[in-house]
Amino acid sequence: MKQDNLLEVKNLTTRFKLDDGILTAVDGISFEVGRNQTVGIVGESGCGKSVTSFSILQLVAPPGKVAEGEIIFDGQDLLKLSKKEMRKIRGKKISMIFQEPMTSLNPVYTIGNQIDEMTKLHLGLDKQAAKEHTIELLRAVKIPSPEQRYHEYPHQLSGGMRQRVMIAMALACNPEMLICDEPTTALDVTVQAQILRLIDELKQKNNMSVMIITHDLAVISEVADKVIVMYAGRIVEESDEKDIFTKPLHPYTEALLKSIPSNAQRGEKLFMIDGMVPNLLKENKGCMFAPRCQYAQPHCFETEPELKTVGDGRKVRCHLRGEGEE
Amino acid sequence: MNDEIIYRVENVKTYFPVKNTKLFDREKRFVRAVDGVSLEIKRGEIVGIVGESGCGKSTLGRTMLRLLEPTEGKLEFEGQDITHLSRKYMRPYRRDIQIMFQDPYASLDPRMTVGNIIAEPMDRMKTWKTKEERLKRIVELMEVCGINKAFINRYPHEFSGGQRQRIGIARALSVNPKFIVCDEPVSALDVSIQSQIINLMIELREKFDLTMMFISHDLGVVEYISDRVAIMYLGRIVEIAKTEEVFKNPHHPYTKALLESIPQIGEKDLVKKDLLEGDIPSPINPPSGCTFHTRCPYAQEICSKECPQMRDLNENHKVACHLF
Repeated sequence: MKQDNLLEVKNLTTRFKLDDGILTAVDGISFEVGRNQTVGIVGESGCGKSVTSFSILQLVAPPGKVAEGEIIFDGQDLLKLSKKEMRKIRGKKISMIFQEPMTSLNPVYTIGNQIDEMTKLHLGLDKQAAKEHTIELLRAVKIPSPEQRYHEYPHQLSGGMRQRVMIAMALACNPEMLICDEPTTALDVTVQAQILRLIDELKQKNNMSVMIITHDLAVISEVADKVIVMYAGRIVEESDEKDIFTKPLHPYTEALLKSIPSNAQRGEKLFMIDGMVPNLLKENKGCMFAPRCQYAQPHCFETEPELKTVGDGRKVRCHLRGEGEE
Repeated sequence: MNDEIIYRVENVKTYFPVKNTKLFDREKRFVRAVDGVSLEIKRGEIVGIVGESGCGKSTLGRTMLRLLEPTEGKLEFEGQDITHLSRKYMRPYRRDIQIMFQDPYASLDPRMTVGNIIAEPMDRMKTWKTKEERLKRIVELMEVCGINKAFINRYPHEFSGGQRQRIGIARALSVNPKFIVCDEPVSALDVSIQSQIINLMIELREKFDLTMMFISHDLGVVEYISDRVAIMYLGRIVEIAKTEEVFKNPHHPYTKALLESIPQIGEKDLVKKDLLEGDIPSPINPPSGCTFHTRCPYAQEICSKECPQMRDLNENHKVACHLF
């Protein structure tokens, strides 16, 4: 199965040098994304999920820096590439969709112009061919009357339409991998469902790998084949899509699932995770989740647990789960 | 909960004029944000208002607080018509009706201390006589809302989102309101923090005998917290019923579509579901007849011609659709 992995992230650590100290946003995470697989990364704000995706594309802005690790994409370590070589991969082989469709499109260029730019650069198309290609893409993401939309500016489109344009742009060069950072968070539920379905359809059609980053467990459960739960810059649980929602292993995953209102009975008190996410600027001892964990034991505060493989293909970072346990 | 109606909204319309962009265009255009809403809220209940962005749910909330002037219609609070009260006569009602905002980062003045933020409504309404009384009340509110009282002199930027939302709640409660409009109070928060705030709101509702209007686009949260739910689409309420009724037995095609679109944990069937096509039409030029007919899978001829009226399906269930 090893050669089937399109992307392998090994021991990735990204740090930000701030005035008040060094913040380790992503702390030694490793995971794989298989070909034609959808991997979902869930976590609350500040858990490092977005920084992970920025690190893969090497878009981490200073004072942030990828400090350690390897990012092996298609047999090549992206961290060893020069800026010029990286530019050839970014947008062509790995594309990204951002959360805010309004701020990630340039307001002073037409939609057509912005997508043409990509194909001219990466695929070397001429003006006419680029236009045809763009209209084809707009049609593929189901934008009505694409010929007309081609000449419009981002502000003339609704939020859902803009996100479709973003997807069209991301797909312009037939990437092998698509990273979606909170692709539907700014959208309404009916539009969210349309966009998620679209991403899934395009993934099947173009034989892509997809990495979806979101804080919404329900979105992940609808689309992902593999789920990674992050907390405080670390992976705390990794599992197939089905098991994790019915039998969560890590207390944090369990607590997250329990605190969703639609999982609760009316009149019953909602499950609460006490306290807050730890301050990553400070030196933290022991398990990062221990102060908020309802099962915490004395030794949880002393040593940090390893990410262990438990059962078939599931991984969990918790002292309470033994090796080989189901 | 009794049957006394605390707030009655009758056929309220709130329009915003649109600037003409063409030189000789004399036609006056409006964004019909709220377009004929009638609603009765009983004392002690939590009414959820659900809809997608641009459906007018926040405008409705603000109109009910008279932060926005209704273009037409009538607002009645505790039997008193407050639609056209002047600022001076409106003031006592401002005490009774408070609001909680969505964005805990934007709704707190960054240059005021937490204590002063919480006390601001009290200062405005002059509900205290001595400084000690004021301080006592602030501390009491902070304790009730779960804010450490040692933080009284700190500034909002020192708090996390959840903590800020607690400050917002304490501020709303400071003048002992009877009715609170909660405008997306938990939308900006993480799940684990969201549940803390929801639990707090439910606890406070019982403690202070509050009536709430809970505006949200998150159906899961609304289902959990509300007694009754109203679904809005393009400035109108299309369905209103007891929460269980809406979620178990939805009638309006839009309600059904909305419920279908919510991603469910453990169900990987998004690809199979019948999803709504297209976007919400512009509220400047809403479709004729039933405003939903352009996206409705069951639309018939009559739907594009006549606007459906609210009809009673049973005592607690109303729907505005030609099919029923």
